[in-house]
Parts: sequence; structure tokens; C-alpha cells
Amino acid sequence: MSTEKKTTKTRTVRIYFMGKAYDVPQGLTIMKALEYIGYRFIRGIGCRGGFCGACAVAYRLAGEYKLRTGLACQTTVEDGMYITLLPYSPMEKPRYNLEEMRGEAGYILKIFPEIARCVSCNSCTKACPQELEVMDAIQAILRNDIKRAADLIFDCISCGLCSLRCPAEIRHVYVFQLVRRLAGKYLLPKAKHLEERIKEIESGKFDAEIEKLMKASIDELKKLYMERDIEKA
Amino acid sequence: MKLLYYPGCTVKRNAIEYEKSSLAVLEKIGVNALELDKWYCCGALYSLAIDDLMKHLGAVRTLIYAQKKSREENTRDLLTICPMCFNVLKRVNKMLREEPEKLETISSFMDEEEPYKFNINVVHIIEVLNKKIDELKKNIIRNTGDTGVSVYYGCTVLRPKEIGIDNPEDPSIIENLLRKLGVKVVDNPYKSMCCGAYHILDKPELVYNNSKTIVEEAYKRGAKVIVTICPLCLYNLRKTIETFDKKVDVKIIYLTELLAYMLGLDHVLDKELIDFFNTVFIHDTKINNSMRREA
Amino acid sequence: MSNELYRKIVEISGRNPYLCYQCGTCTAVCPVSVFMDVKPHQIIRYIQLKRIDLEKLKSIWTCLACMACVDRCPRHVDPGIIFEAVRNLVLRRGEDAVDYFKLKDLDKVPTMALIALSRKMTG
Repeated sequence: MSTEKKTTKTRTVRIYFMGKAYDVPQGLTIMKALEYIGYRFIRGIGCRGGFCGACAVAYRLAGEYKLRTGLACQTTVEDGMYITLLPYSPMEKPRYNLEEMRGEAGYILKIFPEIARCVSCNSCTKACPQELEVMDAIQAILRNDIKRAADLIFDCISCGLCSLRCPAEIRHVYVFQLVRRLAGKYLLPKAKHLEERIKEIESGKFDAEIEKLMKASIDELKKLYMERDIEKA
Repeated sequence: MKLLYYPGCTVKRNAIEYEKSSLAVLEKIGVNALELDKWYCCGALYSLAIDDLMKHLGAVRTLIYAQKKSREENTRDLLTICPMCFNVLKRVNKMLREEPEKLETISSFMDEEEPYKFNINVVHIIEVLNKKIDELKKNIIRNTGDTGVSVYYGCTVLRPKEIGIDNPEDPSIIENLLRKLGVKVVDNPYKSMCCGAYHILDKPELVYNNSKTIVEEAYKRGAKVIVTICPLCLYNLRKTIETFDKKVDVKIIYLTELLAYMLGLDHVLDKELIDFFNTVFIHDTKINNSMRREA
Repeated sequence: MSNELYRKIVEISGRNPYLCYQCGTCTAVCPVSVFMDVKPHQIIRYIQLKRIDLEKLKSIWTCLACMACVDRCPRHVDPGIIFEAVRNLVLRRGEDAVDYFKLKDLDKVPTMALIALSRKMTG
């Protein structure tokens, strides 16, 4: 606009993505940098806040051999960074009936026998963007300490980076999902208040309220949403 | 006597009774087994390929955690009760000592751990019990009478001979121990023949064949009880008995369960097992009475 | 091809198959040789002759690495260790010698069996 005013030039860093070099503003996350270049995310993006695990990436920094991993929405770009997106770890979704299982390692090993192939190389732990002790969790399953395994991977966001790095080809994402389910169903203390609330719902206590919401107009819903009981920032 | 203790995955999952009885027996004779704060799966079978260093990682990590604890506890002996863990840990330890360049390669990969300084000594519970035989003898309150007990060693505490706890051709360490405690031992020439091990998963008929030879020979020679020290041997022998057309009257148990019974450590034994022991062993009444008075 | 396989077997095992004088001790002491169509000493002979047909040498998968032959081999050829090398020729291609989902009582056997089998039979 104004020619007199000296525009402060944005400092840029050079990143490499799919074989091409791009200069992008310093301080951006990988996700924002790729959007700055012109890519539009349709999949491999979610919460943008480091919680959903949809935007896993792998990268190498200038002058390093280490293959680093992270989330595109949480990792800032650095000069000389080579980047690839790994938004998804390929694996078939296992089918099982929790009612027919117990909190015992055999039920997990039957679906995921490859857990027995773990060589304790620690690649999974190194890859975890949540800094979880992934290897220890897998080892805990082998010794039937499902509770400890569930505890160790409580903060897992299912990004799949461990599964992509694992030389034993363990399907951590679904293993840990099952571990959490078995621990919740069979090993952890029951949440009494939840059981009571479910009973209330089943007895029809909230039917009238739901009915009212179903019939409400968009404007009414918007108003209700804005006025909802929530902690203000 | 203080020892570092490595349980192993199977002991924690499928052989809880083995661990319970082992630790109780050790405690009774004044051995304090301190479980490592952190340990990893040893791999169950030692990798024989000389360039396959990755397969040793779990064992090396465990040795490093043992080393850390050994500084705090001032003991270098790492106790194992599972023979496969014993075999792998001892062989890896030996390999690292003899080929330090391999340890260097492994260490440069495991950059998050402290270097291993070769100061851990892997021992099996049999070796410990054998050393403390006098303590055991002193504490016996039940004998086993004339009932025949046969020993099954399996492979991995004996072979390869470089790491074995006894002569692999004619092992007698457990028999000698039992004899000194007054047990009538029945010999079994197949006591160190492989039971078929992991083939129970993919070739069970092979396991049934080998284990049948082992069980039948012991039975034929008059054994009512076969003692073993391996959770997989125990599983395989028991499974094999289930396949017999004619029921054989022989029970497979852990050695330490028998010792726990003889030491009167009933709180670590199943009621069913105690009942079995009470029926199968005809006791010396004098010992029984003195025990009753104590109770 | 077989020359290359031979070279690899020697490299992975660190043993010299040519030292074998075919005494047959390994086969005699092997607890599972009755389940092998090609016996331990015969496998070593095939390797000496560099006739290494992995399809034909299937009995290496029956070997349990119990070390009975390794302890007794008078020539330190150590068949059990050579068999591990032959298994590795297959496993290092990323192939498995068993199908996990055909295994019996996988959820009930002691963990050590599943781990041992995984180490010896999956690539």
C-alpha cells in the first residue's frame, strides 16, 4: 500500500516437500506452511490442536540422519527441513466382541499375535509425538499387566506413527484401543455415577427434553447453544 | 542373601504359582529376591545367527537395568526362575563379554541407555537352592515318604553345555537336592529330552509324541509326581496327559511347589494341590505331629 | 544362486559345513528327527553339495534349537546353528513360516511359546 513505509520483510525458512523446495514464513507449523504453499488439506487434518492424531508427519532436519516424527499441527518448520505426511497407518480394523473377552493378555494376543515379535528396540517410543512409553506398554501386555499398559497409553491419540516404525509390524493403534476397552470394561473401578445416569436415560427421564430439542428451529438451537452452561474462557 | 530378580513374561502371566512358590521358598531359607524395577522380554530363544544383534536388545536392556539396581543393592547376581529366560540372559551376557565389539554396536543403537559394564551374573533358582541345601534341610517339616518323584529338566538349563547348570549328558543336580531332602527320586532317562516346546502351537502331535515318551517312562518307573522347572514343559506334559486314552496317575508340578509343601508354606499353594500332596505322600507321623503342634 | 545361499549360510552361522564327516550324531540325538523327512546330517550334506533348495529343506522348521546336536557335534559344525542360518534365508525376505491364525490355543499357551515361535518362524 504505502510506499514510504518500509515493509519489514518476513523471515523465511526453506523446507522441502515431495521433492520441491519452498520458502515459507518462519514460525509456522508444518500444517500452516503447507497451506501457505498452496496445499489444501481434505483428509489428514482434524482438530489443529494436537489432540486428534490425524496429521502425523515424518521429517529430517538439515545435517541430521535421524528420522523425526511429529504432528503437522504442532511442529514448527525449520530451515532445511524435509517433510512427508503420514496421516494414516494401514491396517485392517479388527472385529471382536468385548462381551466374550476378559482383561487377559490371551484375548489380545489372539487378535494381535505379532505383539510376541517385539524385540524391545524402542523405535515406537522414539516415534511417539505424545512422548508415551509405547515399548513398555507392549511389554506390559506380554506379561499380562493390562492395567499398566492401559495406564501407559492413556494419552494415545492413535496417530499410528509407532505402527509405521515398528520392525515387528505391531498394529499398536488397534492394540491400544482394545487394551483401553478391556481395562475399562474388566479391570478399572466402575464409574457409579455413569451407571446411574445411564439408568436415568433408559428410564426416560430426558425424553421430553430431547423431544423439545428435536422440534426446535435452527434459531432457537443457536440461541440455546450460545446460552449453554459452559466455563467462560 | 540378596539377589536381583528377573521374572519374565510367562511367569507373570501363566506361571504365577511357580513364582509364588519360588519366592516363598527362597524367603524361607533367607534369600531376598528383589524384582528389577524395569525389565524386558528376553526373547525366549537365543538368536543363533551371529549377525542378528537386534534380537538381543531385550536381554541387553534387562542386563542394564539389573546393573543399575546392582549398584543400589550391592549384589551382582540376577536370579531367574524360568529356564528359557535363564538361557537367553546367560548366553547374551556371555556373548557380550566375549565379543565386546558387538556390545558396542548395540550400545550405539540404544543411545538412551547407560553402557553395560559386564558386571551381572545370571543364576537359576536351582543353583541358589543347591547352595542353600542346609537351610532347606533345616526347615523341612513334611517328608514325602516312599512316593516316587521324577525330575524333568527340559533343555534350556542344561544346553548348550557352556552355560548349563549341570552335566547335560547326565544331569543330577535336582535329584541330588531332592535326595538330600529325603525324597524318593525315580530316574528318567528322558529327563533332558526336548518336550517339543513351542511346536505345541503349530505341530502339537510332535509335542504329544515327545512328551508321551517322557511321561510314560517316569510313570512306568513308578513316579507319581513329575517335577519341572519350566512353565512350557509343564504345560506340554499336562496337555499330553490329557490326550492319553488310558488315564495315567501322575501329576506334573513345579519343583518349588513340592518344596513349598515340604517346608509347610501352605499359604502359597492351591488347596487342591495340598489335598493332592496329602493323598499322594504318606507322611512320617512324627514329623506330621510336630508340624501340627506348631500350627 | 546356490553358491550365494551357501555363502550366506556360512556368514550368518559362522560355521563351516565342510568340516562335517557325516557321522550322523546330530540325527541320532535330535529329539524331533522322526518328524523330519530330510534328516539333520542330510541337510548338512545338501549344503556341502551346495544343493540348497529351501522347499526341499523344510525340516529346518521342525528344529527347535534345543542344542542337543550342537553340544555333541564332534566337528563343531553345529547343525542347529546352521539350521538357524537357513531359516534366516527365508525369514529375512520378510516371509513367515507359519500362519498365526492357524495356530492352536494361541491365547492359552504360555507366552514364552508364542514368543519363541515368533522368533524362529516369522520374518
